[in-house]
Formats: sequence, C-alpha cells, structure tokens
Amino acid sequence: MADLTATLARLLAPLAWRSPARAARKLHSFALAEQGSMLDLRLAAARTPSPARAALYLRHADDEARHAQMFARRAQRLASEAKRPRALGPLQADSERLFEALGERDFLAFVHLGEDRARRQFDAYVLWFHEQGREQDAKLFETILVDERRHGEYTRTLLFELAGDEATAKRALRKVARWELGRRWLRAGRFLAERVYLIATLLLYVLAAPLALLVRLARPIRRGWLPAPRK
Amino acid sequence: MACVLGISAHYHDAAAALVVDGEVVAAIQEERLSRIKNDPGLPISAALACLQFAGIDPAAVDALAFYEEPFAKLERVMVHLLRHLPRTWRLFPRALASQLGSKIWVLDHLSEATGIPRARVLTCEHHHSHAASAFLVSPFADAAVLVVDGVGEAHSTTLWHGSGAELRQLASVDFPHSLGLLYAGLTAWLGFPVNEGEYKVMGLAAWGRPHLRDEFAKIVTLHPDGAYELELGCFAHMSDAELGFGPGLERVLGPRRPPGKPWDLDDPADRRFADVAATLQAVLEEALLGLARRARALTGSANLCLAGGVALNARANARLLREAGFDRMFVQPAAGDAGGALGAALIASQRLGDRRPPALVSPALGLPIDAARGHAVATELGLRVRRVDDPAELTARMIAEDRIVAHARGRFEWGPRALGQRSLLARPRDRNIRERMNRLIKQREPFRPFAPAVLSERTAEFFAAAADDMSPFMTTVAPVLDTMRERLAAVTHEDGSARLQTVEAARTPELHAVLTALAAAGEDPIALNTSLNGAGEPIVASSEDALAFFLRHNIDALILEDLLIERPR
Repeated sequence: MADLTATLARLLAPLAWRSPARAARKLHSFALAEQGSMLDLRLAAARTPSPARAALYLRHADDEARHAQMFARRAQRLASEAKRPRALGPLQADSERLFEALGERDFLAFVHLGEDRARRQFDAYVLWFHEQGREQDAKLFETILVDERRHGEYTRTLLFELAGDEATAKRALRKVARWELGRRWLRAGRFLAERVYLIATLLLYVLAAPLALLVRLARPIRRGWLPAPRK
Repeated sequence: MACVLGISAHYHDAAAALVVDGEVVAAIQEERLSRIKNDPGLPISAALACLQFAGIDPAAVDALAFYEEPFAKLERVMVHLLRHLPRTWRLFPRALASQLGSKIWVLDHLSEATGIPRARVLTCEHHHSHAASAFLVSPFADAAVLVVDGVGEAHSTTLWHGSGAELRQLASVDFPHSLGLLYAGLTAWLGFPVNEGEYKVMGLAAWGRPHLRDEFAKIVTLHPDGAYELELGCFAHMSDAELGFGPGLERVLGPRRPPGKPWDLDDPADRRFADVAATLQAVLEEALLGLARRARALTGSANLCLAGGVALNARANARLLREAGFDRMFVQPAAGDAGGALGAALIASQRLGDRRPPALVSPALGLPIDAARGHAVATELGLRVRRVDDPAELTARMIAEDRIVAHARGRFEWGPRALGQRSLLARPRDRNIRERMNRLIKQREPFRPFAPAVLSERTAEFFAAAADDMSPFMTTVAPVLDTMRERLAAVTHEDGSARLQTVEAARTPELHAVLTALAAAGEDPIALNTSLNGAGEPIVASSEDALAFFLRHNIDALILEDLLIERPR
C-alpha cells in the first residue's frame, strides 16, 4: 500500500501539477486536509485524559495549522497566475470526530498511517518538482516533510506506548487500515450514488414541470404586509 | 417545573439552550465545541454539554424543542423550487437531498442522539422562536417585537406584541422578499462569504458615502406602511442557494468585487464598493425604521425587542433606538439563528407551565475553564506558567504596558461577541495596536473596527451615550466624544462611532475587575476587547483551545483563570 501511494503520486504528478490552476486546486485540497487534521487533533487534545498526550496533540495541531496556511498561500498565488483566475473556497474544513469514533489508540494508528502516507506522497512530489526545476514548490513540500517525519515518529512511539505491546499496536494499525479501506469503498459508492441521484432528480424535475404552472396560479408570490394566521 | 432543551440547527450557527424551571441555565453554540466556524450540524455536543453542566440526565428532560417546523419549511422550499422552474434546476437536486436526506428527520435524529424520547420532542415556528428569545429574557413586561432575518419557514419579517409571557403575531412579510437576503446578496456581491461577511459589510459602510440611492431604488422598494419589496431580478436566493445575487444586481451596480482580493480603500474602485456598503447600510436602517414605526403603531408599546440575524447590525440598532420612537430597546447577544434554540426552549417551558424567566443579566452561559487541566497541559507544553493572586490587577498592569493579553476566565459567552470571558484585551489608546492585532492574530481587512469595553458608570466620560439595555451585550454603537477620539484611537471607527460594551460587576465580573484595576492604576477604565480566536476560527472555549491559540499566535500573555502564561519578553 505504501509503495502504491508513492508510485501513484509519481505517475500522476505531471497531471496534478500541469497548470497553475490545477496545482492551486491540489494545494488547496492539501490545505483543507491539514486544516481538518488540525481540528481532529485539537479535539483529541481536549478529550484525552493524559495532559502529556494533550500537549503533543496541540503541538501537532499547531504544525497542521501552519501547513494549512503554507499550502493555502501558495495555492492562492498559483490561482492568481492561472489563465482564468478562479477564487478558491474558504479554508474551512470539516472534522470527522475521529477520536470519538475510533477511541484514542485507533485514532493514533489512523494519524500515524496518514502521516506515513503523506510523507511518501510528498517525497515523490519533491523528487518530481526538482526534476522539473520547480524549486519553490519542492521547497514547500520539503519544509513540511520535516514535520511529517516527526509526526510519523511520535505517533508510532505513542501508539506502541498506549497499546502496551508491539502485537497490539500492529493489530491496531491493521484494523485502522481495514477501516480506511472500507471508508474508501463507501466513498466510491457515494460518488456513484450521487450521480444516479442527480439523474433521477433531474428526471423528477422535468416531470414536475406541469406542477410549476399550478403553483404559480395557486401560490403566487405575496407582497407587502400579510396578516397573522388565525390560531 | 420543567426541564427543557432548545435546539437550533441545519442552517448555520447551530446551538443548544437549557431552561430549567423557567431559568436559563446554559446556552452553547456548537461551533465552540466542534471548532468549526458557524457549524450548522446537529448540536449534539452542545446539547449534552448543557445537560452535563447542569447535572441533568437526558431521561429527566421534559421536552426538547426544535426551533422551526421541518415540514412547513419543506413546503416552502418545494413551492419555490417549482415556482421558479426551470431556473431552479441546479438547486433542485441539492435542496431535495438536503430536505429529504436529513432536515425532515431532524426530530428523530435529535431523539436518537440525545436519548430523549421522541414523544417529548416538539417544534416551534422559526420566527416565534426568535421573538421569544428576545422578549422573554428582556427587561420589559410589554414590548413590540420585531424579527428580521433571511427566512424562517415562510416569513422573513414578523411583528409581534409581547405582554407578560404571551407573544401574539401581528403581521409578516414573506419570502422571497427579505431584508436578511438583501444584505446577504450584497455581501456576496461585495466578495464576502454569506453568513460570515455581513459584519465586514457593516464595518466597510463607515468608509463610504451613501450616495447611490437611485441605484438602490431599483433594488429594493420601501413602502410608506413599513413593508418592503425586493426587485427579484437582482437576487438569486429563490433559485440558487450559493450565489445570492442575480444578474440584475450587476446590471444596476456593475460587476461584483472578486472574492479574496485585498482591499485598498485609496483605490477609487474599492471606494465605490465602500459607497455601495454605505448605501446598503442606510437603506437597511430606513427599512428597519419603517418596520419599527409600524410595530410601534400596532402595539402602542414604549419598548422594542429585536431578533433575527439582522438584529446583529449594531449601527442600525443604535439608529432605531434614536429615531423609531421607543423609549427602550433590547437585543439579546445571540440574536441570529443560534438564539432560536433559546427561544424554542423558552416557548416549551411556558407551554409546560413555567414562569417567565428573569431578564438576561449575564451573557456567560457556556462552559467554565478547567484551570487544573490547563495548568497540567501548559506545563507539559513547556510554557512558563504560574499562579497569580489577583489576575485582574495583573491583566490591567499588562494592558497598561501596551501588551496584548488573552483573557479566558469564567463561563464562555452566548452569541458571536466576546464579552470579556474569552477576549483579547489591549490598551485602546494607540492606533498601532490595531495594526499589531491584525498582523499577529486577526488578519482582518483594514476597515474593520475593534470594540471598546468601558466601565458602565463612566461611559458618559468617553461616549456621547449612556449605558442602555443593549450596550452590555455589544449589540449597539455609540459616538465617541470628539475630545476622546485621539485617546481612543484604536477603538474609534472611521465614522467616529464605537461598538461599545458597557461593563457591570453583576454581568461580567471578571472584565469589570480588570477595568476597575485599570482605573485604579490611573488609566482610562476602557480596554480594546476583541474575540479570542484566530482568523476563521470560532472563539476559544476550553483551556486546550486557549493554549492552542497561545501556541499559534505571538501574543504577550494568556490569563487562564488564575494562571498566567507568559512569553519571554
């Protein structure tokens, strides 16, 4: 799985970074991911019973917030360089409340796997950017990679501490990897269902056309003061 | 004697409020706990936090009141989707998915998530919830109540007469005509995010001249009886939930301002955008004056309560009090949709036979700081932390030394304003403090003002106004005395006004102690008071949030109850 991440990143890099507009969108998505991770880590800091782990989560969240800003700034710059500049959305991510959903041990396993995956992906991008002579982008990822490596290490240490023994920690990593796979499967299903739903509702919309006339006649737009309904 | 939980959700600013035996015990916006700004999701964390704070088991809750009627809302959405066919083709799938996928099941979802039996879950009308949230906690036995927002089930403006514990609806203006959506449409046209950028438009208005009346006459018509009508071709809220304004608006006012473009008010183009904001503000104020005068005529009351998102326009509120013919006026701090949770809880509490609650004194209805936990985590973070005997005196001393202090004490505030419990405090004298605050923390547009908090009894020394029913909750503005503008340079807005908070010991004891200590040290009893949050984040709630803020921003010190956390100087 790990090598697959790096291979895919290498293969898809020319596509992902081929124009400023695409690169801006990609970096914006990274910014949102970092922002979402920051939210989850801050919630974890508030939920964990251990002040020591809370402190580690807060430091990690702080790094994620910084990364989100770095990605967002570069995305903004690239978006303005695009042929048809388009506004990127606000830097507002959602939280999956993973600490509550998974429990602290599995949450740590999840964070560790995510950091590891990001490290491999970013390593591949750095190589590609150097090859293309895009030093500014390479530097951005290299700066962030320093933190990603540290995050990978501390989450692994903490996971093994919390699990009590190596076998339990590895079991947690496998369990979370399976859970992530299931989540991807569900996301793919949702993607497909959304398309089917879109077609179905548009059909419904067309079929509802005669009702539009009825509504316009029976329920016209009302203007000015309306009396309160009698109760 | 009843225990009632009120809930607002599924649009923006989800919240929960707990009323026990007719007393408001707790009220919390979900964003404070989820850390997602304007979180619209079901406020389960907030609901459970309210119950936990009061030590009440969900099984003991007599009623859970939702702030609007889901099926009435579905009807309005369907009618408008069909009425504006085929323009609604893009909105139709999304609106249907949102209504049928979650919104109409909200009562079941709330019951499942809280453990409160479904039979105890009831609904209130959206505007009724707003009206109750203002009137039932106001200091008035009798009042005209005006609710103005985007839209509830069908109404966008309602007039009520409140007497004792009763609220009677008198008249309404219905969607799609809406002052809230007029403001939202112009907010989007000015390049700000809707439901978030309205404060920015209000701040920008002070930099412009309201001379675009002819253009606005093509956008909105104000009738002599107080009613109003939008030129619907200028708006898109009937057919597009995202855009907010229609091609007609660009025909009247010109192309929109690109979102995210930095502001430069020396640039004539941006000056014109400021003029649009100023004219919008003037038109909104006149529309509200028309509504308020109508309310006065219908009710004969000397008091006015205002609720709904538009009631958070502090400049308009000040003008209403001056010119609408009322003696007194009240706007509770969470006047927007979050306030609906409080209103719904109060309506259900009345239905169950409880007395009307006493007037809202303190906005501190959230959760307290866990100082012991804060101490332990700060120590683990390697921060310089120490206990202090008199945090107020120390805070005052640091403010007097021109340091920026994060102040997290007591239960956090209800509503979008930091009122001293989770605030950044600074000396209001030097204009540079504004730039420093913006550079280090807020990253705000240059035209947005910072607000002053002043000892209530000394208000008249600095402002051309006295404390009133709104000023303790920062829902109004007052002119800064001409002689004081230099002394209050950091908190005086471009038009010479300030969105002041008057501070009394009974309402905000921690901030009152700080201002008293400032006065004792020979300083003005005023502090620049802005919310303790980073750009795009909700205001801090817990000690962990405060520490995260301290790590992220280069402020001088953090006061966490009786703990001082300082950065080396």
